[in-house]
Amino acid sequence: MELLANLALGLETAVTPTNLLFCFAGVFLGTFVGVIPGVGPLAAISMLFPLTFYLDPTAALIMLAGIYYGTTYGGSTASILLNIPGATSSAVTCLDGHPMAKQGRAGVALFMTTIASFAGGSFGIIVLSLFSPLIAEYALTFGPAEYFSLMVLGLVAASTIANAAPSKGLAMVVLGMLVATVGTDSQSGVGRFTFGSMSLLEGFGISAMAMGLFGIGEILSSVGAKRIAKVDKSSAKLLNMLPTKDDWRRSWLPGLRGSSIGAFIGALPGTGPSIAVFMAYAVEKRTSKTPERFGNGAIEGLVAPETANNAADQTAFIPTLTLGIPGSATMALMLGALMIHGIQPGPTLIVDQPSLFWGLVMSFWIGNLLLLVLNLPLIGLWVRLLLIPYHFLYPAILVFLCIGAYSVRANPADVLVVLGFGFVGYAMRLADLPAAPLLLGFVLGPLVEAQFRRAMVLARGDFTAILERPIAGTVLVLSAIVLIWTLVSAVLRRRRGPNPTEEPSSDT
Amino acid sequence: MLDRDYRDIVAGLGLTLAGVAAAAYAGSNYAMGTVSRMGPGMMPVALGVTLAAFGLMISVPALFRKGDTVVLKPRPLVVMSISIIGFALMIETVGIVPAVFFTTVFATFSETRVRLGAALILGAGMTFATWALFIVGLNLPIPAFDWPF
Repeated sequence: MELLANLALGLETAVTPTNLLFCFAGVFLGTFVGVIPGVGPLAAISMLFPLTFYLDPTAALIMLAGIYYGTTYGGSTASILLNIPGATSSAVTCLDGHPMAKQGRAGVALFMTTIASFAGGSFGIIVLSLFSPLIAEYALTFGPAEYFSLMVLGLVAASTIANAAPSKGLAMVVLGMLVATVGTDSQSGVGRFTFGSMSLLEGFGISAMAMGLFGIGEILSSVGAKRIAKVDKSSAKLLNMLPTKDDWRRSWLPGLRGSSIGAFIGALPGTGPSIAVFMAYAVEKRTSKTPERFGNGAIEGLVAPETANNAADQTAFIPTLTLGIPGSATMALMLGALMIHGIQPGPTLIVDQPSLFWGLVMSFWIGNLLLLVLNLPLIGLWVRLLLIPYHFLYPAILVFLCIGAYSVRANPADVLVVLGFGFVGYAMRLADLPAAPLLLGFVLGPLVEAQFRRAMVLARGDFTAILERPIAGTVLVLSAIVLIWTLVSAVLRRRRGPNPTEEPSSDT
Repeated sequence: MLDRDYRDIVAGLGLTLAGVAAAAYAGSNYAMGTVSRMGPGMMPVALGVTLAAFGLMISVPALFRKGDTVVLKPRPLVVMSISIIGFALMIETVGIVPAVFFTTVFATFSETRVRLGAALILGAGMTFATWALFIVGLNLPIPAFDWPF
């Protein structure tokens, strides 16, 4: 069994004391930052990103991955106890998780979330280890045209499907790609948009951009604003952690369905966890015999999206690692981290660096296991962390961002670049423009350009030759359908809806 | 409530302007090449034009609907900027310990919720934590103190 041999190799890599330590550190820090209300996975990852620069690639990626699913888990804790989702994917967790907490079942909800995360994550990892080698092998036949078309699909899907205003998402993707052209053109060596500045020849760093857009931008828009609600300390009390027999009986089937939906959606380009959780929740509500219980603390409504979320988190690595095409902004950050360490993910990664690939896969499992053992006893600590007021937290976050920005290249000017991107991020929040597509466009932009130029050379400048290739043509047509469909349906929604910009507060 | 969605109008027009400017600059300064052998200018021009089009798609419909007022908060913006610029100036001139202390304490002035005493304690705590984590723990090559005199 080749798979077993690979998994054994991976286990060997993952359980070395250093890697185990970094996995633990990542999961712990990720949960820690993820619990802070309003700090989503993207902000958390970009904050902790620089910490991994000094590690060797395998350890760095293991730690980053730990941070990634640690933040997801921490986000659910904030959602259940405070009804403040840290990310869109945990917004669904609020629907039934918070009512459970109000009924005094916060302990049960957190316990089941932990179990569901582990189960969903494990399911996703199995799918990841079964399908990655197959996809990678298939992708070996891909040429520039195929890569170009898959990236286009990823960009179009990520900026339109989950966005209320697809034109804004698309504009941000294009802006991200445009920002990415700053610097030396990889094909001709010409410096673009450098305006004679030497330091611009290198282009902007992904970490500076992510820290500015998501870290500083986030702080600037939350500081000085009215806090959403006072922390209800009574709902954070954990009376009883152990679920009843009835809870277990109700949970296992939704968990299985959630895992399957999550694993499937997570692997598709541009969809990711946020769509998976909504679908899993909708499916449970639709198939339930008692749909009226949903929204009032139904455990199915908690378990299904949680398993879906974690399964999708894992399978999102399939396109990122086997094709080098990230499906979401979070995955784009992961890809950026890999490239900083000199690794170009793609179909040859599994064959060329088996210990990195399989070590990572096994570390996912260990990370999920650590989440389980870490979080069940530590829930009390996370709850206490939730009670720290934000005005003590944001200066600390700011300092971490500054040190992180500086430490990347030991250059104080980088701190100012992060500040600049922070202004951009704040302005985008004011203008209601989504920042995640910008980052995705920024990471994929240079790859899209390189593959497109190569494909056009091979096609002798004839674009129809690309469309005539079966895979590339199909994917491009699919992208066009997604593009047109989302734009048209957004217009229709606006026409039909009473008032899309319905505001909760009055205009006094 | 405003009679037009000025937020989206301004955002869309801004993007359109940025796209046109980028396309015009790239088009006049970098070689376009041919379709089969694209030069460095081709992609920026194409992206700039596309961005301009999407900008219009954002701003034009906004002319015909009502919108919310956008509130800009100047105080956090100014205080945070000074706090961050201070860090950038201090890190290599006086060292990480004073830089972190200054940044933490000054950042609390963004709001009026933290009293000075609490801010100083927070600053001292953060300074100790970063010193322990980055200098002692991770052994980063940043000087803890680096007095110029």
